Amino acid sequence: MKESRYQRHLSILGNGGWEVLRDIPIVIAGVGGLGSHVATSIARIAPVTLELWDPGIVDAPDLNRQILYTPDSLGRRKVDDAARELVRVNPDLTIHSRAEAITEGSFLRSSSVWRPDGEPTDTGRHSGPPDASTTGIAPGAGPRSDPERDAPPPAPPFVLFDCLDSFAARSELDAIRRRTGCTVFHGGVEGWYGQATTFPGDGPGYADAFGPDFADTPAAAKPILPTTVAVIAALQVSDCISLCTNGSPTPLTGTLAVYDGRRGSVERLEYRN
Amino acid sequence: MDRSAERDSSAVTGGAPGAHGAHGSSREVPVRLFGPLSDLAAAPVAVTIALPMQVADLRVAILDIYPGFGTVRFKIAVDGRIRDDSEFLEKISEIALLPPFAGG
Repeated sequence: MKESRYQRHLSILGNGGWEVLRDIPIVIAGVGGLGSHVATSIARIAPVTLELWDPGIVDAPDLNRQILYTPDSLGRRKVDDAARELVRVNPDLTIHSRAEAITEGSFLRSSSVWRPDGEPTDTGRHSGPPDASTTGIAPGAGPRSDPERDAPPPAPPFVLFDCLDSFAARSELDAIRRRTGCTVFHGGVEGWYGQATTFPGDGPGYADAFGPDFADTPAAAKPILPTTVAVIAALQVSDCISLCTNGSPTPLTGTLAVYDGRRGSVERLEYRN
Repeated sequence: MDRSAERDSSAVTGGAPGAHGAHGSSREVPVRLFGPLSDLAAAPVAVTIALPMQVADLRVAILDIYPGFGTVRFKIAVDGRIRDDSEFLEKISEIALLPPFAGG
């Protein structure tokens, strides 16, 4: 099944990179526009463990870009319909749903992939260690079996996709990142425009990219194009694939990719050397 | 080096590119706009500056020339790198104004 279903991208992820992606728990904060695209792409790449966080219900204006939902979803909880649709995309997924806002407190209390003692609680159902020497990143979470060996740095305990719609809420993700050491793949969109960047657990964060008062940034204007969401989600997932295949720093670590749909451009702007 | 004295001597003027030729130690620098800022400017934007200057002073000067930009929160990038307002600029080829996009 693996050889056929995932045949078209196994060689791209390299020998071992696909297994790293398969085995690292993936938290998606917000299953709206960005979250729908991110989850769908990831689900098609590998039989991953997903934890979906979103307190919302599906509303009619969501249907222009939130590709996990249909008119039948209206009025239903997003995490429920998202999980249902994602399992249709790939029946081998493991999905945990949390129909509440993700905060440092709620995450530490309720997550299935992390415990406050620092140990992951669910690293997926899959066994068989990937070959770290070919990926530049140690497989899975937890301590390496041979700490004396000259091995690549350990993988983050999980990765977190920032698909939220306000910077105030994102400040909670930054707290989770600093607390757990996870890597955050950030995306933000508005109209024709969007940005993506990656924050490693021990590296630059939101304040470095957006300023120390980033949480005060006003909420987004309502217009959002589905094409913008698709581009930014693709950048987020691509950087996660890079982490799993080549390790950190990824191409978007310390760099903001700014998309301008009107010009058809993606520009890279550094915010930390 | 007395940076404050240099800041006081910084000069910024604005207008469409080409409207201001270099004079003295000042020169014209194009300003690229992203997101809603590009909707606020009817024509290409440039500023004429005298270096060195602090990013915070550049921000104030841009807002003096284009007060409409004050309705949008933005970071300033110079020559491909996002800068803190406390940084001093010795060389500038291009300025970009970057509002963060909050939606998801």
